[in-house]
Amino acid sequence: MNQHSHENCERYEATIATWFDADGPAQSERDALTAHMASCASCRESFELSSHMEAALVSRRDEVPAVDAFLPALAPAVARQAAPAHTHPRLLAAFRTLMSPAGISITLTMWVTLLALHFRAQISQVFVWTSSDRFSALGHDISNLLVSVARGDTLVLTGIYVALTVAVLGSMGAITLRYVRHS
Amino acid sequence: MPQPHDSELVARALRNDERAFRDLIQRHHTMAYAAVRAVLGDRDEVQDVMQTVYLKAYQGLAGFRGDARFSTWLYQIARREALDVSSKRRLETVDVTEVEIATDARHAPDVATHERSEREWIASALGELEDTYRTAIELRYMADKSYEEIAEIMDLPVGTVKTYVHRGKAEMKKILSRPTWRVGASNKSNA
Repeated sequence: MNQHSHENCERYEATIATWFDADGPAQSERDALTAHMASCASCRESFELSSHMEAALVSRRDEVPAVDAFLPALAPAVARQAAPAHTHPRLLAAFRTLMSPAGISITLTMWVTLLALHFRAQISQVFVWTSSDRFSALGHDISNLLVSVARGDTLVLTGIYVALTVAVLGSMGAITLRYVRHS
Repeated sequence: MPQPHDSELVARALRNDERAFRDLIQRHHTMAYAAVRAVLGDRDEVQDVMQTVYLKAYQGLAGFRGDARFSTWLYQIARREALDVSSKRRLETVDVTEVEIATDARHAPDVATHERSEREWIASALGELEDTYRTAIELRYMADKSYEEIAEIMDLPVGTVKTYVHRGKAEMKKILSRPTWRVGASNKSNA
């Protein structure tokens, strides 16, 4: 009798589990459970716990605060995005130009050129080592030309190198960040 | 008047229509909130995380490709943000002894205490569930979503979502059947 009752209880537990779903048990199953609970304290207790739990879960909807509580914080961002007028539009335009592929190419070329200037003596030696006398002379000519172009204070040149290095590294960093954010 | 589709609101928001963005967020607010609560519980950080979620959604709207639903996209932002905060600060588990005191039959609880212990009663059981079960249940109840909607949001089959909800509730029943909680339940029925 107890075994029979236990099997029934397991069966009714499945009915209790889906009782509160819109597409829950059929009416015949609901009626059967109701009849069973009249004589089964265990299923009655299980049903009461499920009802209590269901009501408590549904009441959690009241804990959702109004969306207005979160949106005011958005206002500055919305304003920034809606009106992208920059306080320094020329500076922003220059920065965007620097960020473009053409800007990066030009910057890189200048950087490489200035590096070549800096190491002109070594480059000249390469011409001497690897070329014929004719080309070696050409190497010296090029080196001398670079020296004449680069005539100036070493401190100024160093400043230009540093500024260009920062610009190139900054460009690369900005591009990487943009790629990471969009991926 | 028919409500505009999410994609239409997204397009308008991308043209700097602030109202469209607000409508979009209003529509999916309970879902995003439930997703964050499923990870963080009732913690102080929830408020900050929600603001961050909406800010990131606004800033990242241009990157929304539209190959997924907006709700799924927003859910992923909310969940990721909540998990980030959760991993930075270890979640405090509800101290069972505190709950026992609050629900002890010897302490005649006033209404406020009763409501608090009622919230703790259910929140603590939810807190012991597997993350996926808890998320499915929060979306089902707190966000009042259908199984089909949850399946779209979580990008899972409907059958899997139903299984998560039913298994989660079965687990909760086991947790709430423990002697500690039965005292609280009897308080509830006596109140």
